[in-house]
Amino acid sequence: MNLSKTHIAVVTLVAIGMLLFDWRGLTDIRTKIAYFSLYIPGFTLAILLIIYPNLPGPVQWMRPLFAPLAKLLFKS
Amino acid sequence: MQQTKISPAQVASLLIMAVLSTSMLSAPNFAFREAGRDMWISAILSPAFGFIILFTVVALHRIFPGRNLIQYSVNILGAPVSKALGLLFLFNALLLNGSQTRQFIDFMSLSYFTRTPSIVFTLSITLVAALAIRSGVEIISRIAGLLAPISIFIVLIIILPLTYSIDLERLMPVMEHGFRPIGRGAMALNLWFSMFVYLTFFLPHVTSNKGMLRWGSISVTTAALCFIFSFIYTLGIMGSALKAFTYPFMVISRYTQAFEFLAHLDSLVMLFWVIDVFLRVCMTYYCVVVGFAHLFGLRDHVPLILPVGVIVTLFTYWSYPNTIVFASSGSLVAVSYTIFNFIYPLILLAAAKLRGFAAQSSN
Repeated sequence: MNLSKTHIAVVTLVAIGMLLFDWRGLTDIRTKIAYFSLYIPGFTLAILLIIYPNLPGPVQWMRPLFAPLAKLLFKS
Repeated sequence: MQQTKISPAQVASLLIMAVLSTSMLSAPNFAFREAGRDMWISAILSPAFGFIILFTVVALHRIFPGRNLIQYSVNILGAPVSKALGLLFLFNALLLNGSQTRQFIDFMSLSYFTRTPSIVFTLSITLVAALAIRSGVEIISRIAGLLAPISIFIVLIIILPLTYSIDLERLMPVMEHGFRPIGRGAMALNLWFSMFVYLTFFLPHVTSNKGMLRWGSISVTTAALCFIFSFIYTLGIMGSALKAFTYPFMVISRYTQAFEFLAHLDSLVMLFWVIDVFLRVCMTYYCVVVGFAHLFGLRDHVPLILPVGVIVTLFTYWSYPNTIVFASSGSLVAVSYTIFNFIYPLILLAAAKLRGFAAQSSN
């Protein structure tokens, strides 16, 4: 638990540092919307992954969707 | 931004490097599981996929000059559908990014740096690639044009002394189980040839479409030749033992001895591999950044580089928590790549032709 608190602190520091670094480039509102719609999910996911390292990822989501097709096309 | 011009040869070498980097190491194992001993026949057939995707992307660029897949899909399919499909396409590209970084860190920590935490490799390769992308598309292409001949030369150095050890008997019997395994193997190799779709993000900067077609064909052929040779070498040396190794090419490079005193050439493999993965990460990372910028309707992609980098880093761990998940997801990922990188552009071209868009430039 102690270790994951340190990890969260490091990720938060990186997030703040990145925002400070990029802030000058975010001139108009459109760029800001685009930036934050990638920035916020990114760091939310980072913290979620620290707390729950076994969070099911995209490959696990794909399994029920593509497994029948994969079984049809490939052997393994 | 539109002023930067790159030559078709540079983009072609970037594409060759992108295909070679992961294929040299993990393709033999994956193809062997599908096609068995006939995997070299699959390698002869599979460039057909590469040519189809190359001609599709160039044909689409002739209809919509100066625009990329994310931009012209809006013209073809309308905004709501194309934005949704574009998001899925970029999601698939993020998955590809995650998988190549996963292979990089696996390879590094399994073979060389057994004690270093893997996040060090992930962050360093992503940061270096972010710096390269920040410098612009011209820089990435020029690095590729500069380093591609060196990389190919290194591979030749490693592979040539092994020619004596090949036993072609191990390739027999040819076509033991008929055509089905060969077809499956060719589909498996589409995992790499479908990457030629990312050409669409470079075409607006390339000086001529006709030259790109010629150089693109050269690059598909070179990639196919590399597949054929690496398959014949790994299979001829290891035989059926190939399926026991995740990175067979790495294993045979350890056995390379030149003139009986040059040994441990696997460090050269690492040199080649790091250069190669760097170029591949630059290419796919650049494509995702530009794709997101156009999806949100931005004119400049530079502000999005770092947030996309964070997501790429996360996808490395999120989609593939460990090597076992990675090894078992090959066929799933192949289906996903085939749908988004191969079938989606074909559908776009068909829809564009049906809706009566005509080619605007003939160069």
